Amino acid sequence: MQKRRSIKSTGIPENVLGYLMVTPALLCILLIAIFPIIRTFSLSLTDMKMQFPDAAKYIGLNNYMKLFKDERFWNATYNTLFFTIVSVAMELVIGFAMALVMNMPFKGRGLVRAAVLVPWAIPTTISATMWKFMYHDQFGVLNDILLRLGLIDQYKSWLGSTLSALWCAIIADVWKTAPFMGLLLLAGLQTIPAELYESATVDGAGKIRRFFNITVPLIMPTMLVALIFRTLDAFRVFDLIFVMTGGGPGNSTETLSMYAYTMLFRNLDFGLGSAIAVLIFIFVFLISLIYIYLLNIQND
Amino acid sequence: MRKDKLSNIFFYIGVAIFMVIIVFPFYWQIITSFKPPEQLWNIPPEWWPSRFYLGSYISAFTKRPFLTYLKNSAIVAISTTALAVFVTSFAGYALARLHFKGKNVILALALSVSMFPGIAIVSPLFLMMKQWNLLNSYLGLILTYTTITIPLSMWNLTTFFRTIPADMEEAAKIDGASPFYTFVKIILPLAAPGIFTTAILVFIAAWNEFLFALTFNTKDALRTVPVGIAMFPGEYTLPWGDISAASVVVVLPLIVMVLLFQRRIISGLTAGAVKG
Amino acid sequence: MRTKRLLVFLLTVAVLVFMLSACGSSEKSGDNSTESQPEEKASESKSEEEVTITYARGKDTTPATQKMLEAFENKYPNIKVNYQEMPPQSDQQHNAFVTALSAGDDSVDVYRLDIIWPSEFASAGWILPLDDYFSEEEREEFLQGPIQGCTYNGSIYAVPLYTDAGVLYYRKDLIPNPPETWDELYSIGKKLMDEGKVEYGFVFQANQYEGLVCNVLEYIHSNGGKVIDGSNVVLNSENAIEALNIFKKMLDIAPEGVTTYIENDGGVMFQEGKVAFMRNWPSWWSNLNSDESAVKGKVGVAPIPKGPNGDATGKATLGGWNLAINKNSKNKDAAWTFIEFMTGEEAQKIQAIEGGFLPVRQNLYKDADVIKANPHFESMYDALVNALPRPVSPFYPKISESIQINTHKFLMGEIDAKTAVENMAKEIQEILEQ
Repeated sequence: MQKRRSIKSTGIPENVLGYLMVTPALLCILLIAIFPIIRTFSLSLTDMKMQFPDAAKYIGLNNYMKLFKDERFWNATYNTLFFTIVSVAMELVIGFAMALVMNMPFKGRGLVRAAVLVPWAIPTTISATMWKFMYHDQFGVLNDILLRLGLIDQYKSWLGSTLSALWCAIIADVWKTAPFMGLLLLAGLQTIPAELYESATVDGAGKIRRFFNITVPLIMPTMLVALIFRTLDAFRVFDLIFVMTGGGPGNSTETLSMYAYTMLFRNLDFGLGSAIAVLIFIFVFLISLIYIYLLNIQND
Repeated sequence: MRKDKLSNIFFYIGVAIFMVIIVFPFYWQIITSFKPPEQLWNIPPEWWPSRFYLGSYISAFTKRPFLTYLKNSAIVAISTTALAVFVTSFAGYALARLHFKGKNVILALALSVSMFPGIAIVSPLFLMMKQWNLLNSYLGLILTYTTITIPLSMWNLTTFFRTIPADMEEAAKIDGASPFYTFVKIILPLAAPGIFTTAILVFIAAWNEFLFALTFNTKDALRTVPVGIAMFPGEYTLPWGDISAASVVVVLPLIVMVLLFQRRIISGLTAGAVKG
Repeated sequence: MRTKRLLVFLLTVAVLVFMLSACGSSEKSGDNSTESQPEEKASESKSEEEVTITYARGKDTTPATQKMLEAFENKYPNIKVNYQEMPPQSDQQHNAFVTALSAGDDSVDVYRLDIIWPSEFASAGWILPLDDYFSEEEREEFLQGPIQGCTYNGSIYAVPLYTDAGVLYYRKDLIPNPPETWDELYSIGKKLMDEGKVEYGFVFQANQYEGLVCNVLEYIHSNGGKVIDGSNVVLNSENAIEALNIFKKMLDIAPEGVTTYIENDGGVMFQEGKVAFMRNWPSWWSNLNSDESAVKGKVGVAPIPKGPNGDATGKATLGGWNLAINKNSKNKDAAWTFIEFMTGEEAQKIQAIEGGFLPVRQNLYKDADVIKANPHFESMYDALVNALPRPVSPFYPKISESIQINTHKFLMGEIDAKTAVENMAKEIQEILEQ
């Protein structure tokens, strides 16, 4: 044990080396991110409105109290949760399937791997416009396809209905980000040593047993990390909603980030907007605590 | 044997359907980019251009300095990727393998940075960039993007480093190699797929970012692609052909890049496997 | 040995980063930098000295801005203009401007502002009051609606650059006389739909966004309703409720997706010849009469119709853009010279002829060259004079938001007209009282 902690050849104690190697990354974070975060926290305790910056004063937790009583805030929270849970779950399933396929040796695998990246490589602002256009009630190809297949008898306004608009956003999001999941999981699959499968096969384990006994446990850490980041991103979804619906119809697709954006940049209500941002942060923090807990169980 | 063949066929059909769904929106965009203006707004939409019209591509490149946007995006995204992966592969290794206190705190700290909604930190960041004279520069965006992508990159690499079997390092240690040597010579090559994946993720995140790019770099000569494409529509009009052409041009280099790197990675993998 | 390698590696990265930053800053100095120049010039305000001012506006798809800038630089060779184009969506411009101005940025001297922004920017102290530059007599030469929109707390903060107001486009090959009331519009549209001459009667902008406010206010204002009178909210009235119901009735003769439409959607449908009427902005005229248009030469323009309880004419919503000076600008006098030129007769004529933008000076609507290039302007003059601005308030965005959400919920059938109007009136009252 003693031997592991200090390395004779360089003379640097292991823990010092550890801190040294972590420093550049932490420095970046401290340099760039800490000030904006502290500022957002402190702004959230004021009634700062950019129209009258000099009149801003400290109001304690009033902004938060206001939000907890605000129907619109809870509506946005519900939309955000719905969007996050549904899209991340779909992405996980589809992404896992992608990863398994891409990990198999077959002809044209390179092509599939490249194709899978296409959705993800299109900037969100563009892909959202693209989907919006495909959902269009008149020029949209989706209506055309469904009509040809006989699934609908007349053109529908997919983004114009409170029932379907959020689903439209979810589908566009899954299309775009399932590859992210797929790629991460693929990299995870590739680090599983082939011998494990071989010896299991020798022991007479079938495909399904090998999947659940080897693949799933070994990929769990990678999967959790992929899930953490997808959940965090989905929870803060903004660009997609902003471009596709702007929060409509009748606020039925307004997410928390969209709400925060409206407060900050349109209404210039920096106090309330910052408070929403902080609440997003807290929600997400709680979610990631759950994941980290799961991850720690996994590692032990 | 026959059963195998049959399941093979099903497998390929499944993959094909999947591919169609994945690629279709992009196909639609390509088709749109070649449609002549008179066909663009037909109802129902047509699935093939009535004639191959190159006007959208010509205007994509002549109406705006699109090559400049591409160059800017490439510089920013490549530097961000290099910087983020470089910085976090050290951090990831340390967090996965070395023994020191506060690792969980560091991981949580990194994560908490990525939890903050981007829209909330735009204005304070602008203030900082202004003070540091980094508005309208590459470095301002590179630093911002690097910071945003560090958490993902760090977590990812930490996980990958953890999955690498410890016995090889032990052997190196017994041979008297320093941890740093072990890291560079043994761990890094083994972690190639993880590093590559992380690099792609970081690259695309930087390539796609809109809000910071819009507010920090207001000069046309320093704009990146997503903002550049936002420059195509009119106030009340949407030249859909031009926008499609521009987005096809943006995505193609990425596809080519992935196809090129593909081989590297597969060869890297097999090399690792032989060693292991 | 190993430490050496590490050092080399680190050095390489450091060099790379520095090269890139150098690259970035060389790019900066390459294009007539505005960051450094104003500081050098600020101390000496001699007019012979060459100054550079930066002008930020959303992209102009027409050649007008370029031509106006050339004319300006010919006339004032000592003032160089650095033209900073922004994405055309006004929301994106608002983002970028707000972020920069709230940080006290001085890299832009002249901003082009949407008609709904001056009061907000003025109360935030970001733009310069122009009372000393822009005399009352001079203001009388302008259309009064835009001037009103640029005035806040009795001071003027911006000069109108061009104006905009909702108009009714109609197919003059199908409709000999444009309708004067919403009811007439509805019945003509319905008839043409039933006869199969068009697929839809009417298109407009009913997505949940700023354009919806412009649309719904036209119904309210044209039916004798009003949002704010002095400092009182007077929106809650029978007239406003009736107006909302008329608006919703129009959904019957519109495409199902109209509640997601912005200007472009209805515009291209009308251009394809599928619709009888369209509410849109005057700038669509040139698209509708381009070679790609199926309705070239078949389009007429009329004022917005009126409701049963309205005045003699319908009331369009006023749009348009205005020029203001950054309070932190180091070249305020040069900036004013620039604004004076851009809103002067010479530049306004260029703008109207090259770009088809509606001039802000009244006399230009009788100018032969302007009318020759834009024959439809003459018939728009009355609509422009009658056009009403949206409520002027530093908290306009919140007012707008309340109107957007409640109107959209009403159109989606989630609440009725009475509730929508009551909600709006209550919320706007709260906004004004804060």
